[in-house]
Amino acid sequence: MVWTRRPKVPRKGWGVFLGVLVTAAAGLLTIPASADVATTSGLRTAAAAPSDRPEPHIIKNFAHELTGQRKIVSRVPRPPVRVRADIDGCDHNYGKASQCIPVTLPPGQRDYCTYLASHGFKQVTVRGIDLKQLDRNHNGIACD
Amino acid sequence: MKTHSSALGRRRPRRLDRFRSRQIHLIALVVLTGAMIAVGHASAATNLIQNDGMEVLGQDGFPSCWERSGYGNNNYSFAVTNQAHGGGNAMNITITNIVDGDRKAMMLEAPACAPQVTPGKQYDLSVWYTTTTPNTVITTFRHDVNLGWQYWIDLKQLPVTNTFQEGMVRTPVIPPNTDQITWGVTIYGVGTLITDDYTMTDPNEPTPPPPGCTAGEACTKGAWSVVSTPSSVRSIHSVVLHTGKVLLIAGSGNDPDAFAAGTFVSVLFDPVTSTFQNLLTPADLFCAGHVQLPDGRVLVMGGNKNYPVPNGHGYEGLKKSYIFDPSTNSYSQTNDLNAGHWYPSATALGNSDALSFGGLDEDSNGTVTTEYYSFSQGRWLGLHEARQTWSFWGLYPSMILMQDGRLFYSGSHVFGNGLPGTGASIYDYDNNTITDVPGLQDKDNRDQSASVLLPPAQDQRVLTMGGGNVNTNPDANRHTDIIDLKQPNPAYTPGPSIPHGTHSGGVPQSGAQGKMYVSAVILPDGKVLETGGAMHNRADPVKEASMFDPATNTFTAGMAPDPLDRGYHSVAALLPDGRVIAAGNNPGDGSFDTRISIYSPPYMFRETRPQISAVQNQNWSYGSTQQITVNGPVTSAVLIRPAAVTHSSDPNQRSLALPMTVAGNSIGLNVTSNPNMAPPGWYMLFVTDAAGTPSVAQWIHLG
Repeated sequence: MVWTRRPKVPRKGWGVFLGVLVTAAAGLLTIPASADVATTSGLRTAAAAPSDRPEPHIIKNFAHELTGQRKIVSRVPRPPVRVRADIDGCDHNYGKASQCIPVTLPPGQRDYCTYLASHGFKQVTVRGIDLKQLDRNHNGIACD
Repeated sequence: MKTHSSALGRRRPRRLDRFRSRQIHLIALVVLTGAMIAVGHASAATNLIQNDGMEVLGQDGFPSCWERSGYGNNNYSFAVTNQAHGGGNAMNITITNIVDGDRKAMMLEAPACAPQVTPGKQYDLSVWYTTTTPNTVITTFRHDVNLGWQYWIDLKQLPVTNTFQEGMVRTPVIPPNTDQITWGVTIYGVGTLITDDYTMTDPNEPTPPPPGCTAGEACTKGAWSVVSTPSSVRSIHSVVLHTGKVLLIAGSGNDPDAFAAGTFVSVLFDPVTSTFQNLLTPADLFCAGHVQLPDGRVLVMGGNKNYPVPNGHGYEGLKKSYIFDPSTNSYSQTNDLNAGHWYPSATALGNSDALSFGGLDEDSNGTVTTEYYSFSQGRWLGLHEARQTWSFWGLYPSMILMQDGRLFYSGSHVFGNGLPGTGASIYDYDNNTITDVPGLQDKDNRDQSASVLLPPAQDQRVLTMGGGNVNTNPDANRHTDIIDLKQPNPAYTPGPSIPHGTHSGGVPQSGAQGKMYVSAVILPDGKVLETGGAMHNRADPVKEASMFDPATNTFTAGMAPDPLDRGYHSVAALLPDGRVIAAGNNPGDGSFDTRISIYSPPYMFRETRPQISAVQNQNWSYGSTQQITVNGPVTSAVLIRPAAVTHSSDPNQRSLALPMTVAGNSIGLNVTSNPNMAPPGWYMLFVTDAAGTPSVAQWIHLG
């Protein structure tokens, strides 16, 4: 489907009239824009271009027949979303905060101590709870 | 005759006059057999347009081989007028009322009417016109042998004139798989446009032999060098400034000892002299977001308020925001954000403002606060002065500005799964709607993938490459996904797999193994360099680089790989001389490679490069034509936005094609009227020769 190629019969008057009706109806269904809320579409007026300067040629029917699921946008403030402290994929019970002992070993790796040794880790401290049981001698250092 | 040597001549080609004077039945014959005849017309003098002066009318009274085109909510009329430039007829399109859309008379999309073209060639288009509105532009469509007819590109705005003027522009290089084009003049404002005497000619410029190259393997693979002096800071954030220097920001640089000591650093790197200049750095900008402002200053938002503690909170985001000014090499504080943001993204808007999304707040929760920076007011707006979705966009969400001002969330993000739903969406800020778009493969394994608006920006296509998942830690993948945002209902479709490289000191990749932490860098020759990356969470770097060609949707494998590992906290960016800087690697053991490597693509080794010898005006406005002088034949000109990149993510990276009006070495560059195509700011202007060899850039201020 080529967007400019839809055959259109000129509908002088009626087309605009219907368009206004549709626009007005759509307006009733959306939250009226507060006058002091910033918009990105204020280009034509905000740019205050001299009259000899062209307005932006924005093509309005690119990506305008979306059939994907419309996500619900809350009209009222909502609280932030709780995320895991290990969102960075690192087990912060081990090592310095700059280090990353992966919460999950990559495919083919089964042993943390082997993994750590082969990936440059030295003297990894246990700073929290040794859930991975890497500090067998309980000296506060994993895999030694 | 319209020939190369008189491309700007105002005289109508004699051949066209003769053509015009023939009888209607002869023209009809030409029309009917146009396909065969057009093929035979190879000389520079040949006008490829059928019924170029609209003298032949069909039974409906409309010119043969022409059609009414356009869309939208507007009152309009098409009429054949006798106010002609030549002959007795011209086309009048009048719009009396417009809400949206446009109108244009186009060459009929039929084999006998639409000019036949040869991929790789360029054609000179000319039309005589009058217009009462500046909202007129030469628009082209192309026929793809696989995909059918589709919009191609707007080429040149036509200024207001009440006497006939000639609008002239050269097409970009005809893309592969294109056998015909049509074009016309679009009117999208209230006014009257009259057009007549269309010509389309092959400039028949001799194709110079490709520049020589004696650099051996580097001629095809490019080559890397490592800067002898390592960076004095951990280059987690990289911003190419219009001074030609590169701002490398560490903040505390993922070093909790530096954080505890309050040692926050950033540095200016001069890629010409390979020298560094330390900067006074006011806060822990580690994990901040950044975007270039229209005046070339760099807006930095958020950062690191605190490192995680065992069994306690995770990373906490700063509410602070600073502006780095390249003219003073100093930061100044602006007002605070409404929430803390650790890993926010930032997108420059066509109206000069910026939007920032996502990240962790001061309490290490996922922020649901959208931050809006007003450039004219010089401040972040208050919470209720901006539209809010009250939804969490994730970390460093890649929000790419579309041509109509909406934002495409590409699905590329940092850490863990993608967002619920399809993992990609279109966010309409003004109407505050989020609509999923389908097709992104494996959306929960696109952590630290790379998304890029493919060149040219006018094509409105996005490529998303690779990715993994730091939480589940699978092998990073080879997926690429391409979406054409020009389609009515865009969907990602799978692209070619990222080429295999080696990992872990030389083990060949196999099967579905790809890379996360990958960098995508738009080059001035219209290709995208894919480089760096690693297989797993902060581990197992991949040695591989390739070149993606948006014209063919294919990778050329086997580019020279970066000699240094470029995994977590690596960046890559185009430099104004055409080289690419790469920096950073921060594996799980906490070490950091502060060495900088620089890639010279194959074009850097050619014996000759085109040169921009003069730029008439450094400040360009939208919809204008800007004059430059070059030292020899060039086939394209682009404006590339300098990088502001971290974590594989630079949603603002883009390359704007500048269709050329060519008169020998004097070239008019036609700038889009649409600031959403290339938001206001500083850009690198490159021209390229027929072999794709780019010049060194000149800095241009757009806006």
